[in-house]
Amino acid sequence: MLKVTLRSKSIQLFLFRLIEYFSSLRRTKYAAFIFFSLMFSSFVIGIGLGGLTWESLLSIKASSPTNNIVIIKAVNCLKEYLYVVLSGIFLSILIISIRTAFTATRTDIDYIFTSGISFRQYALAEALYQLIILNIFFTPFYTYILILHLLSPELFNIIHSIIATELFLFTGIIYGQVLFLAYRKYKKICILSCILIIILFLYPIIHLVFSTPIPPSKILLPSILLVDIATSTPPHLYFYAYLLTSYMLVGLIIWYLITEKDFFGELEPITIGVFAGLSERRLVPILSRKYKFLVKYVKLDSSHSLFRLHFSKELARIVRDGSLFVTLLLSIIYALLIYYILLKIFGVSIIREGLTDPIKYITAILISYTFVIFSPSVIIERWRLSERRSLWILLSSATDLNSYLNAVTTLTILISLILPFTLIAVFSIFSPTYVLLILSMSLITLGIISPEIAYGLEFKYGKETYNTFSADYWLIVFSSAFISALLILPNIISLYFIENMDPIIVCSATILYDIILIYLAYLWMKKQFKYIRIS
Amino acid sequence: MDIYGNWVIEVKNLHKQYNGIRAVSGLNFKVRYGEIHGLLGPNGAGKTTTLKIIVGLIKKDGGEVKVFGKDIDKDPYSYKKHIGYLPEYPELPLYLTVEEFIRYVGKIRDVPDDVLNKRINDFLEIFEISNRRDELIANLSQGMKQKVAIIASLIHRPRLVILDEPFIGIDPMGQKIIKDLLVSWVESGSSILVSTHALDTAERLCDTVTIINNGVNIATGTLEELRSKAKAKKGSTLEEIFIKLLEKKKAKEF
Repeated sequence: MLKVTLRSKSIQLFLFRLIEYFSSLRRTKYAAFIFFSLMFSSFVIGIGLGGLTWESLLSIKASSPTNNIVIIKAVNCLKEYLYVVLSGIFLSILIISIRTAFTATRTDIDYIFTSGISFRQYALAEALYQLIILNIFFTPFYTYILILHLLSPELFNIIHSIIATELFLFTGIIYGQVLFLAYRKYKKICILSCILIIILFLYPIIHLVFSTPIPPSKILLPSILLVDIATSTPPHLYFYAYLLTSYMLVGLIIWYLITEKDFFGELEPITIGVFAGLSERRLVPILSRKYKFLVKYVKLDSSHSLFRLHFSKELARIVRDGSLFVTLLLSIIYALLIYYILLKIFGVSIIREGLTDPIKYITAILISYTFVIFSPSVIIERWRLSERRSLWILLSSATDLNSYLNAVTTLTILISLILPFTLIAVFSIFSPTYVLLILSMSLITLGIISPEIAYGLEFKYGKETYNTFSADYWLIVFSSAFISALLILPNIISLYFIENMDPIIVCSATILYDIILIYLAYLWMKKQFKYIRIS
Repeated sequence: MDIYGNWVIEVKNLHKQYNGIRAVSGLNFKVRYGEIHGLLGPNGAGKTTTLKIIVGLIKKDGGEVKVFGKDIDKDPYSYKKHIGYLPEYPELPLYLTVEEFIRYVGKIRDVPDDVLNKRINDFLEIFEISNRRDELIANLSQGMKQKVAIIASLIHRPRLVILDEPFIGIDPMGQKIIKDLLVSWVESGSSILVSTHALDTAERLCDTVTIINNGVNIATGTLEELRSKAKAKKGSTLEEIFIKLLEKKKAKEF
């Protein structure tokens, strides 16, 4: 009877959470369609990555058809990359969980915490909900493994991989919850454990960069085990599966014991995973108390034009709520990642030889695009969460809304351009002049139009919300990324022509196209602002 | 009589639907210049929707709204210079300090700097929050935030003030300060449209009231006029009149 009650209450809460998360998709009749199209595109990413990997393996095989060792080496190399990626994911789940293992909403606190539900029931519902959300983000990984399995069933197991991935994610969530609760009870021990965990999970990348003597496969972390399960055969497979299950079971036992206590008092209304899960309501006072200069030096400038007034207010917002810091940090990480990926793909020789053929520039552009498109998304997300609800102040006045709109977009674009300019500096080392010109224009244009399109979509289709990273947020971010990438395609095409045509003509045409594109995107965004309504 | 005529607000046959659900359906009422007019009604009666339409935050589906004698559809901006608005649940920029926020609103409302400085000082004194002027809004209690929002709606000395449930979360002393301020505001020539659930407050504060239910007008007038419409006995309170009028309306519909 007790079990039935536990299950039913947890399941009810879990279903309630899912409805809450996906409710935004019911707002317009096209939202669900677009969302599932984007899901489909994540399948395509997985298929693309799987195809690329397979092609690489085939080319290696072609170069020495009789030597299986070469193939095994290539698979091992691939495994090393997967170790890094999955260890990074597991580490992120744990670190984010220290603050956001439980995404308690205001409704949860007011109605669910006071309903007599036990903490364990609540924690279980939360774990199931997070498992579903994480599975959505794992779609490209599943597709990737599926493609590799279809192309090479002897090297990659699909069924084992899916089961192991579920175990891996659930283990991450359970350990995350344990870490969250333990952190509230044994702060010092927990900080030490966190440092140890970080070192352990960073080991695969340390090994990849510094070629340390112990291979990551010897450290049996859940992420390592998942990759090993995906790529091994019995009896090793059973051993790895047994170890991964043990990880989960040990975690579950600790979780079961620790959730006996009532931790409801430790939970605060927080939203999913932004800035370690703190909402603006809590984040602003904490940051301004710890870093007094945020309030002292970044002030409202009310002595000049309306544009300066709005600009200084927006600047105060992104500085005081931490979104500027996060975006700058992401830009640095992205720039380093892009540089590292390019070096890994083309080898150190590109520094000496430059990006000598169109395939190299296009790869460089495509890799950079992905990061440039997403770099301003944190700023837009924070605008959506806090500013949108305060728009009544402007809309109920007769003030010039254009100066507000210009201030918001100018600031976002300036921040969004930090990454493109960093990349241009990097590319300038190894690109011929004309190629660099087109690369630079492409990245700058993308840095400008992607926030313009995201804002435009947000003005037209966005709604006031308290939920960070809700389904409709992803809809807007991915749609704007997709549209921006589509609009910038002519720049990539122009790179093909640059070798056969007069580079000055190609560059001039590209620059002209980009300027027109930026202007049209601005006009479109401005038009969308007229549709903005507050509830 | 004001230069714009007798009525500061004229609402005629106002209609508004949300996803097929009628929020306001054929509402009529007028607010005389220089009075405090209360908009009363049960939950979901359409009060907030009506106020939002008047201040231009949402578009109406039909009908006519005139503010200062001018149709707001024909000139949707210029009338806003002279109105102050307080929403039911004002969302304030938590990352600004109290003074920064009030100054920001003052600037977008074109208040000159010297006047703005004086008004900020005066209002903070009146609302007894001078010592919190450099505090971030995020650090204030709900009642304090409400006081800041009220100051923001009055900082440009509007000719018409539209307040949606202004007393939510405010302690009795704070409520008295607001009521006194509103009365003195009207005495100096402004007009006020206030939506409230607090019938005793409305009774003491408002010169005239409009009672609405299901988006339509039940009755409009002074307390005496409503009393006679409701056929209520002499000395009956607004609450008694309100209930009687609603019951009468329900019986008619039935």
